[in-house]
Amino acid sequence: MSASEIRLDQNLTKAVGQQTDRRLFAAIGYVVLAILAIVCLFPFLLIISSSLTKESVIAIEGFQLFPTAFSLEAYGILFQYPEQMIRAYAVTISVTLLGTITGLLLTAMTAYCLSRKDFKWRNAFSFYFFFTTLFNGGLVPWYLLMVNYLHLKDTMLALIMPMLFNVFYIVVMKSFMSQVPEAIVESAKLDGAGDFLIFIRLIVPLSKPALATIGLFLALGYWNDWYHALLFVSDEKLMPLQYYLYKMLGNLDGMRKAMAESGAVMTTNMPTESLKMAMTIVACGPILIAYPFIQKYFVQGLTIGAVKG
Amino acid sequence: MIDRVKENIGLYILVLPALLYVILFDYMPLYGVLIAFENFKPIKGIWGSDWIGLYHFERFMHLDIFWVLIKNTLSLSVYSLLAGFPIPIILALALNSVRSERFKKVVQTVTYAPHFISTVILVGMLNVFLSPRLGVVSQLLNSAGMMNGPLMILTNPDAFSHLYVWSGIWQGVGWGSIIYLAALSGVDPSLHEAAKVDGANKFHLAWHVDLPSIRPTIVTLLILSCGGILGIGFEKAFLMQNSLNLSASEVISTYVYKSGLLQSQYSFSAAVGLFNSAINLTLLLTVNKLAKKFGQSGIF
Repeated sequence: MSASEIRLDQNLTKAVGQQTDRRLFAAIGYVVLAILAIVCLFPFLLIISSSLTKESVIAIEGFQLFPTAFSLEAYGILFQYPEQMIRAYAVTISVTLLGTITGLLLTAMTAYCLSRKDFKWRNAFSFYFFFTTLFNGGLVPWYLLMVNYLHLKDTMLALIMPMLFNVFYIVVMKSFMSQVPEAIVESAKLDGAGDFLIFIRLIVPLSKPALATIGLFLALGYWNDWYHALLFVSDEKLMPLQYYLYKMLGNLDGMRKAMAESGAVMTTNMPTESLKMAMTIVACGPILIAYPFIQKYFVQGLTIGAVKG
Repeated sequence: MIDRVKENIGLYILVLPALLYVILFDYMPLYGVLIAFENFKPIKGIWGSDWIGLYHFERFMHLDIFWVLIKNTLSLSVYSLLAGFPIPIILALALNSVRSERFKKVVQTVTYAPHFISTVILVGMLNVFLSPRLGVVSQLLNSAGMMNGPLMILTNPDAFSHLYVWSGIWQGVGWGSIIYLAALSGVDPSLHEAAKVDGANKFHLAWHVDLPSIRPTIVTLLILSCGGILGIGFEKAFLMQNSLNLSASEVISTYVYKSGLLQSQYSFSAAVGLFNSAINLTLLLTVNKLAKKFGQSGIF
């Protein structure tokens, strides 16, 4: 065997080694990712299946991934007295709609001004808005303002106002609008259009993708909000869905504890566990159903923002 | 000057609502912070109440709970940062090296999903899965013989931080990876080709090519997360609290809520809140400065 043949041979072994190396790392990657996906999915499946399991089976065997005793009992009880649930849904939907539309308008208007390079106070305004993310007065002064000065306790405005304005959304929207060519704005101006008209007729239609994304961010925030209800809502008629869920989970807990103390857990026919699960499904159902279709808009929002940091 | 305003009058009208909103909801409370230095009585108002200087700050720092709050808040956020910061990066690197587009899509869709559920539902899930007798974890451990009797993890103060942090990672890992994936899509493919010719495997590619390329993104996000290190959010800590784990789960934000809104000690809890904001701001500025010193660009 000549020297060059030996070297060729060695190279070949090395290349084969690299191949198995590559395969090995690829395989590890796939396995880790698959496990992660299962970990993320598992709780959802468990909740869906438990909401469909007979309470008596849960009480003895615990939660199961595949219900051995299928039952719609929990949903039946949930919808037996649906007024409260429907009211909570109505509050959440109204707050989400009003908040999203108003917030979107506010975000777009502000972002457009900040994206215009010929707007004289652009930097001053940017700092004025950005500063609020650096330093704030804290919970108490804000709460006193909302309750004692603006008298917003137990009003729908208390649920809408706090989340209308978000500096992060403005930054995302601004960097999207900055990509609109200045020439378009200039030519519209030459045609005699004012800034207001330009915004409505040109910028808004051109920013549809960013508007969709920010709109969804806002809507998700409103849908999932319970914190502002905790602070400002004591009237049952104004309870949004998540706060209602929070209250009910708490009450059921209290109920269960009371029952446990009297030793009645096994004999009761009130399905507490599966009822909790059913309620969780009802509260996040619409989002989980819509999620696969709207997911890409959310991703878009983060990445538009990332372009300019 | 007036001509310039006139020329852009439309823009001024467009920015006006936001200007007013921020004055009302962000800068007015900043003015309201004055009550932290007063013995504030709502009837007397901000100007009418007695000025007592730093009394509330001193009182807070001499309370027994002061160090408990600082310890809980700090340990939760440092733990969250240490455990939670690298994992989305690893996920993004792994996703980036996967060749099958379909597999990648499925993993992304599934791992982003937990981000969309509310805190109420997340904590509800925790309570159900970890419930002492019926919870899935308790059942598994009991049937595997690793434990006998009820699982008391929800009321155990020592377990609180692990539950808090790892449920947060569960909820945020997929979502957190998005921004790194976006940065990774900007990595020059010719770098990969060159490294492969030199015999790099996937691990080498991720470590020596991908990771250095997204370093600016990592640093920016790290600065932002360091700035919020005393800003452990109210919602999850509050929802996960129960009377038995309070020694580990009481953080500054939940304490402010309870002392301020439930017990109406307005001035005192405004002082606590202000103390918290001030430390957060100092931290953010310090980290930003450090980052600049080490040759990174910082965030402002």
